Amino acid sequence: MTRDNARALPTSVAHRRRAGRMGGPWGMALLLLAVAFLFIWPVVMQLMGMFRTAAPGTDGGWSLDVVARVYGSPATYRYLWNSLVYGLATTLLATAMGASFAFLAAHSNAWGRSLLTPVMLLVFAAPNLFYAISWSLLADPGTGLLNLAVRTLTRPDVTLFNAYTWTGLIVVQALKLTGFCYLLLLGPFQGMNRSFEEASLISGAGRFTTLLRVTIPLMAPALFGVVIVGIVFGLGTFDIPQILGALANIDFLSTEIFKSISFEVPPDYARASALSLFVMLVLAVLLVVQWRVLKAGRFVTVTGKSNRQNRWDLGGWRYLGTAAILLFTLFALLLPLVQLILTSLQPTIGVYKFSLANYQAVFRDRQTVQAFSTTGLLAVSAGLLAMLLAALLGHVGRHAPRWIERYLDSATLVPIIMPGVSLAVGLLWAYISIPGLRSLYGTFWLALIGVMVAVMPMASRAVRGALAQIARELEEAAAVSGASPLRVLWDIVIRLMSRSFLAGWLVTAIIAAGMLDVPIMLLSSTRPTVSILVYTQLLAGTPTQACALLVLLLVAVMLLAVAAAALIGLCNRLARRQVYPPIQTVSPGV
Amino acid sequence: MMTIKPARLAAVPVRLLAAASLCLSLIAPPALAQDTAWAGGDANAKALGALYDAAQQAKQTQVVIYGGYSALFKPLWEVFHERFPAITITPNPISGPRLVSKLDAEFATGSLEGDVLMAGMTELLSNVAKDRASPYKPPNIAALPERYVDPQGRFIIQFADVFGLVYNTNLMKPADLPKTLGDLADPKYKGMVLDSPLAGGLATLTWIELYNSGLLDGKTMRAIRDNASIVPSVTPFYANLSTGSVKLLPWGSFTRYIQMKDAGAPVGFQATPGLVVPLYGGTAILKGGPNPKAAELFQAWFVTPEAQKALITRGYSFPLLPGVNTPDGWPNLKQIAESLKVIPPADYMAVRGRFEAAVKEALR
Amino acid sequence: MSDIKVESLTCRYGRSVAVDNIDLAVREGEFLSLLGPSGCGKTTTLRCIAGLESPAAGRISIGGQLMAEVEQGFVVPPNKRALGMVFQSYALWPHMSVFANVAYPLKMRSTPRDQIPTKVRKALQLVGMAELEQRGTSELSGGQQQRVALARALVAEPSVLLLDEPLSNLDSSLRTHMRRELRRIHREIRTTCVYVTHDQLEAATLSDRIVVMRSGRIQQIGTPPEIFSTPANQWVAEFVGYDNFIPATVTNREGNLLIVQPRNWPMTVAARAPAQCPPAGAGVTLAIRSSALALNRSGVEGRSLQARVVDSMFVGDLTEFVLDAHGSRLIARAPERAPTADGATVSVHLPLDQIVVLPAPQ
Repeated sequence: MTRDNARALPTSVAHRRRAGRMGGPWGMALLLLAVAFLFIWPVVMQLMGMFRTAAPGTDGGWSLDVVARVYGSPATYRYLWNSLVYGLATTLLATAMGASFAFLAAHSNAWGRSLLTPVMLLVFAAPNLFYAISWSLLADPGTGLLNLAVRTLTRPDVTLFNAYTWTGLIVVQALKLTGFCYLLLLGPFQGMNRSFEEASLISGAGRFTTLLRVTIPLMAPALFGVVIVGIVFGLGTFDIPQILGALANIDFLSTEIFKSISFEVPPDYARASALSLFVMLVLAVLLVVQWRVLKAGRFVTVTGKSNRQNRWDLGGWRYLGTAAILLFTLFALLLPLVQLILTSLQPTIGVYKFSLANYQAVFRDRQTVQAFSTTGLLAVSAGLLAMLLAALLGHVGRHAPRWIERYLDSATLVPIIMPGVSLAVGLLWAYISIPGLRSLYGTFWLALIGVMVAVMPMASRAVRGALAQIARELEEAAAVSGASPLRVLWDIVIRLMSRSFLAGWLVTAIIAAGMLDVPIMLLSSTRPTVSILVYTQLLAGTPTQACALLVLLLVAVMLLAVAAAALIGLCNRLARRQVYPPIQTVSPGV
Repeated sequence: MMTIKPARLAAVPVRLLAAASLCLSLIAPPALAQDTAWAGGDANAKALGALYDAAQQAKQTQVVIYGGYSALFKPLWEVFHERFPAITITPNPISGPRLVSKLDAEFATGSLEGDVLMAGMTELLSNVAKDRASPYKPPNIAALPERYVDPQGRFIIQFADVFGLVYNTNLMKPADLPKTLGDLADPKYKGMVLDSPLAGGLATLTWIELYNSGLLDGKTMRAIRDNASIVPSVTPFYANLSTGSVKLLPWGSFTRYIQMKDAGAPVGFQATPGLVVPLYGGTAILKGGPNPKAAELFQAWFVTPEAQKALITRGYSFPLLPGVNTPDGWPNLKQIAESLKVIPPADYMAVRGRFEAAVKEALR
Repeated sequence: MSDIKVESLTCRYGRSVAVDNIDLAVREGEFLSLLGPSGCGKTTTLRCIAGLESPAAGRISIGGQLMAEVEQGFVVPPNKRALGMVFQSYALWPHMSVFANVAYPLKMRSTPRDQIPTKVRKALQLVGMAELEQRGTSELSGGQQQRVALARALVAEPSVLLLDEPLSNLDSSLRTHMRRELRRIHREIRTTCVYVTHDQLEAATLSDRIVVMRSGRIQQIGTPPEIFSTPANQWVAEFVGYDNFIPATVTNREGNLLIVQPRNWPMTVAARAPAQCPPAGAGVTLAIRSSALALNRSGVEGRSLQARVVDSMFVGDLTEFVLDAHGSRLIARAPERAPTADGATVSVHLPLDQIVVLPAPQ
């Protein structure tokens, strides 16, 4: 029975800011301070760097030179424009694809939908750098495998694919980003109450109209989260612009930032920060738009009145869905993955002789096995920590005055505006300047905190979309039942958004596993992560061994995901089975 | 003279093996000195033994080396570990901005994690200038030419790489290669890959030397820049070179070339005089590092014939110890170095400043 | 002790005042309804009692224990108030089975583990859901979900049960049934209940007393018969179903009766005098339910009123007539079957004891 109506939505927006304050004023003040220290302080310190004449932490004066130099240069605005076009185009394309595929997976009967999650997971887990290299090998206008294939089928002067163009750049980045969008959108799509869509169908709207006017708008909080992260990520991402953009002669903010900090001695963090300020401005604009467009309480799709899920029969469109799934799998996963695996079997890139020598070399290295366990531990626990903290902050925000909610909402996004190296340096300085934390330098724990901070933007977006869907009465019912605010969070909120929570955990863990800058700055030299080993291989001029490591990392991620899926299945089965055996006779009356 | 005992060569590719044994046979080892030849003689072996004992007594079981080269030379560290089993070398490939910031932070707070910095001239000098190096002259240092050793012993230069024309042999013949710097402006080399000479990367480092020697003027700088694809960093494009989507790197690393060549890639290297540039690297012991004794042992070992020879076979780099000869077919480092004007370390930053002004003017 | 005392309670959302300085006392074991249209502040009052809203001013105590004293900055959070509450949307947790939903308050209040199954089953039995404890909440019908929500609110034997429009999502036959069930359950357990509704019928059947609210203020407090037979003002009368309002002037008083002269009528009308009797010459409003007006189509009696039929409309078991009586528009409902032609004259009987005299609207 699915009988919902508009009355079931929370009575008013105003309610949100009143009920159930957590922890008292001191607890709240402490939390706000901790958030400021963890997420804002390292970034602000780096941003201040643009007015300073020396690197962070060292002596130096104040100056406006850099600011004048950067903002006075017309080239800066060309980079900005290119980056904006790039970020917007890739995000919109990726969000559209991610949302469509999430819809297909969650609500349709298209064949192949069960393939989507593993495919997306692998696309997402494939490291950007190698995605870029794979595509440069596949779609090189001269010797790309795709072009060679097309030429053998048609004429030898045909060049169908060219990765070194605007189109090439955007398509490759969008394919890669789709994995992220899909994974963050799947939970919200699955949690969606079908009666909203049914109501629209019954009102006479077609399926497509319903999708456009009901489903998508209801997904607005989750979509916004994905779009914000996507655009800001697009402004800052480096690997694909570096590999494909350089030969296309397109400069971006990110490649300029890379140049300013990579080759100057000492690194020109001031210029990097000045350029990053654009990223921050874009983020601020996006957040304001989000706050204006999204009013709390309008997007509740998980209510206290239960409903059943059933799938749309897409009819003939089903085949189109299947075709899209297969095509995406081919281009976003199989081609680059096959290329990555082939590369890992080659003695060097471009030499088509295959052997397992790279794998043997990787396993001969005594650091390899330890690196995998370090990476696994770091990634899984940092992801979990980030998701739990994001859930806590989201939960607190929902019940706090609006300014606190907005503060928490934006603070958790702040780390994304800094390029990886700058953020890592900011974190290092922030931690090492606090006596208690200083003693943790070089230990696993400080690296754990750092990685958690770095993946927080993604975690907080994953949580925010899911939180917006939960009706407040479900929380209030628990509070009235005697549950403390933290119990409500744990027993009700996290359980209700468990799908989104697990997806967010997986996504953040994968990002953490691929992260280089934070671990290399904070972790002990004796315990490198897989990314550090990969980086070692690249520096040592053995990129194909790096590929072998990455293939192994992908395998590890897949095993982890399979284990997680099995665990979830087990939990679900256990949860359904009751703890208490039924008793036949009970005396009536209370 | 020093003698070299054939070290473990099992893992070395065949071509190098042949080259290495050729050079070994030229300096046939006297039988009596066999046991200490690796160190360059009895005295050196004894001195290193004493350093090893000191490190062990101090309970120092590892040397943490910061810098990108520590990754490249990872196979060398096995040689060290075999020689001194109680001590392992822990490479940390941190480099570039990360390295600078990590060192800044560690020195600012006194919580040092690294023992040795292994880097190119610029980074070495900038850290030495910040008084971060602990002066140390190993007992066997006399074997190394004086110009590779800082007079105060704050750093030692032990290895070099040569940057010249690296090209795809399927697409270019040696005859097609540019003969002079000016030739690089020829449209037939359009699309060669270069990083920005303004960015402080490879192009900056090589051009400084050419500019200082009076080989590169502003007009040529501009012509070359306009004829090249400017990339953020050359490193990823070695792959494009072997696949053929890039034909030529005007300043490609000999180390990379020899690695790729050994792996079977269709690449060639040409050390064209007036164009080719050597770049040096070295090490400094970091002041206040956790394992100073082990770091001294490492510093001493790295200039032994054993280490310098392994630089060739396992590190694909040029050793600087006289008597350790590179295989046939490798460019003659000495000749190349002599064709360029030497920049004394003390003057390096000033020369760099002049170059930057010139290049900014030329590329405006 | 489980009485509730609300003193000078004010609650604001931003600038708008949802509850405006109200006082309220709920006696132990009493079933009290807060009745009013949406936006009248009844739900906010309930949520303040539950602790889900922070009032801007006032005191709330339950069972003699202070729950909120705004002036002192003292507030007991909802989880420490030991209440039961049923939400409008039921608020069943979809990730828990029926059993787990009902067991939750027990777990939160540290009930010994071995007592939980018995207590849960007792509560489920009380609401007639004993056999469905293993079900998931999505497998239940609306009525069943409602019962589970009630069982969950009752299971920890709270001293006070709060119900926020619990029946508004049910269809009408189910609603009637559940109303009876609620009445039975309250009789059985005698817990103090505060019940929020906009449905006067629910309030009338269930409550010991009704509080009628409008715009954050209390209009009237009384037993259902008091509210329904002697509404305090025209607004309350309208809300509880009075649909004829006739402006009139007091002529004089004859013992228990008040004689009034409706405007433009050729006759006076006698009505029961209200407690606060207006003086002669004062303006009043007479309120009469449409169902209380008796029609006589043919005969003309002494004190009956002549009226012209403007419209008549068949509404199921009754026929509704719109009448014009000397310029006053009257609505009458009578068990007539055949419609009467428009324009026909009928005589209307005004039953003396069903006429309510209200103060004239300002």
